[in-house]
Order: sequence, then C-alpha cells, then structure tokens
Amino acid sequence: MWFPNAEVTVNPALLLLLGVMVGTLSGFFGVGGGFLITGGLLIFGVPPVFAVGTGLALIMGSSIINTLKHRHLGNVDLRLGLIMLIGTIPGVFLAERLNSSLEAAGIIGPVIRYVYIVLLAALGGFIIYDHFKQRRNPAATAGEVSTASLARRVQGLRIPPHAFWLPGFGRVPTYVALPVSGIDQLSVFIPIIVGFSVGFFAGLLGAGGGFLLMPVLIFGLGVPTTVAIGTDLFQIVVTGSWGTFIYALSHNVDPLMAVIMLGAASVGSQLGTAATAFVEPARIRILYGVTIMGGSVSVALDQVSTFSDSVEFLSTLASVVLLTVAGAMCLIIAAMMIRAKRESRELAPADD
Amino acid sequence: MNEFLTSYSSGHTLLWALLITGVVAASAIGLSLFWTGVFRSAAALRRHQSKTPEDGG
Repeated sequence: MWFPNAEVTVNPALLLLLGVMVGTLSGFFGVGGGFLITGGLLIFGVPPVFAVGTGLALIMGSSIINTLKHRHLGNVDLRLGLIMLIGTIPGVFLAERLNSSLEAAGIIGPVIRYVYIVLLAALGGFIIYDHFKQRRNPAATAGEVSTASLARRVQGLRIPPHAFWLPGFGRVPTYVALPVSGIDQLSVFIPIIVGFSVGFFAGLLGAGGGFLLMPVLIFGLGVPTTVAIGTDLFQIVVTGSWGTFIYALSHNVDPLMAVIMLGAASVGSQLGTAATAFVEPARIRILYGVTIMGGSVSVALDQVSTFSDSVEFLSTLASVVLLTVAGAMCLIIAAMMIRAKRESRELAPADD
Repeated sequence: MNEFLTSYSSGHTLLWALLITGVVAASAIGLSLFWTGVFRSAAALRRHQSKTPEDGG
C-alpha cells in the first residue's frame, strides 16, 4: 500500500501487527511504545523522520484509548497527573532547546542512544532485582516493592513553602491528598519535580516518557502499579499530542499510516488494559523489567552498528530483537489473561 | 485522497498540523467509544441469555 506523505510502500498487515503489539503493551505497561514503533517502522522501510513523527501520532492516539479505558477501571489519578504536567511542559521545552544544541554540535544521535541504553538498563535491572529480592524476603508484604519505606519517606517530605497566598482563595497549602493513589498527603513540589524530570528526558529522547515515569511513580512515590500505569498514560497523552503537533508542522507525520495502526492498536488496548485487572502487580512489574532490558539491548546493538560498516547488520538485528521481545510479551500477556479467566470461571459457583 | 494529503499539507502548514492532531484524537475517542459499546452490548446480551424464564401463574 502506498503512503503519499511518507512516500513509501508498506504492507498494511505489518502495520496492523505492529499496531496490535503497541496497543497491548501500552495498555498493560502504561508506556507509549515509542522505541518499539520507531524501530518497527524503520524495519518496514519508513524514512526515519516519518517513523518518529508517525510513531508519536500512534503514541498519542493509543494513549488516549488506554487512558479512557484505565479511567473506567479507576486507575487514573487525574489530580496527580495534572500536578505533574506543571513540571512536564517546561521540562519538554528545555529538552528541545538542548536537542537543538546537540544537533548543531553533530552529536545528538550517540547522546540519545547512550542515554537510552543507560536508562533502560538501569531501570530494567532494578525492576528485575526488586522482583527477586521481594520473592526471597519472607517479611515482605505480598505485592509490595523493596522501596516501600523509601516511598513512605518521600511522601512524608515537608518542602517549603508550606503554603502560599492566592487572591480569592486565601492561604493555600502546598500539600495534596491523592486518594486514588492511596497517598494521604504529598508536597506538590514532588510530582512537579518528577514531571519536570520525566518531561526533560521525554523531550530529549523523543519519547512519551512512560517507560521512565511508570517505575518512578511505583518505586519512588509508592503509587500502586495499576494506578501508575493509568496516570502515566494520561501524561503520555499530553507529551504525545505535543510531539505529534510539532512533527506535523514539519510535514513528518503520515496520517493514513497512523490511523491504520491506531485501529489495530485499539484492539490490542482492550487486551492490555483488561489484563491489568487479572495479572498480579508483581508479575506486571517483572514483565516490564524484562521488556525494557530487551529495549536496552536493542539500542546497544543499534549503537554498535554505527561503529563500522562491517557491523551495520546489527542495526537490523536490533529491530528484530525489539520486535521479538515485544511480540513474546504480547503472547505472554494474552496467555496470562486466558489462564486467569479460566481460573475465575472454575472458582465461580456452578448454576443449579 | 492521495492528492489531498500531499497538496493540503504543503499549502497549509498550521492547519495541517491541527488537522492531523484533531483526526488522531477524534479517531482515538471514536474507537474508544466503539469498543465501550461493543463490550456493553456483549454484557447486555449475556445478561439477557442467562435470565431464567418466569413460571406461569
């Protein structure tokens, strides 16, 4: 099928397959899937800048679908999401300024790849370590992360100013309750700083930031896993929309390609979001850790491929690794969902 | 359609960007509503099928 804006012919079945995978992983893990989409579209022969721009459009659309579904499940803490946005937006702007400087210096490609490799490896490694540490700890509460005490300390932080005066409202405290996240009181400056940091990395890497925000919310703030997924997706709607608009201004989005993938992603989203209600949070986290470790390996292979012409094939291998890990995760999620539904049906009382 | 996609994008940059963002957002919301309708219909159908007929008077 010919796509006139990207000026490329791509088999629509491949786009549908990629869309289903992105929708599933996005709904299950609360990530935008930017690194997966870009890698997949590059393999399909889509020009790089269109791969990023069209990918952002799919991230935006898929995140809207998943956020609405997670909101229905009670997993979106809108108050937390809106407070984080106060920091996210300036973070993205600052990152774009830095990107322009890096691009002018001619080092943007390697910088982005190395930041991705380190971040993904550190996050994935920590999540996997946390999983096995908690399994071996007999004193650990079921489903609790190893940083639970750190999260409680972060929630207890008192950051001045403790209140400020607003015309019409009087003295307004700078602490909020986040009942959806199960947090009694939190300084507003903490989610603003989190939002700024995530927005900065998202803008720097050209991603939605979900892969970073989700673990920060869980391990740093003590937000329950499913609420972290839903709230994270809400953030990605904003960063994805902004990215789509910017790339569309430069004529680097193929709307036909994006809508085709979005239709398929909506199917995957139903599976991914529904599965979060059936799969234990600890399992969601370990699968997430493995997925982003796979992402780190993929980006590392891609970086090595730039060292010399003789290892250029590693770039294709990187995309294959990424798509294989993502595809395997989708199958595992589907299998877990089927198994959980079967078990719940067996436990349900039989009709007379 | 192909002509529209290529000629409109080159002639109306800002409108094109707004159009793309709007189309993606509208498609996402539309698809979300579609799936909500599908699941609600399926649930209503299951409830209707599982109702036992009342005994006659």
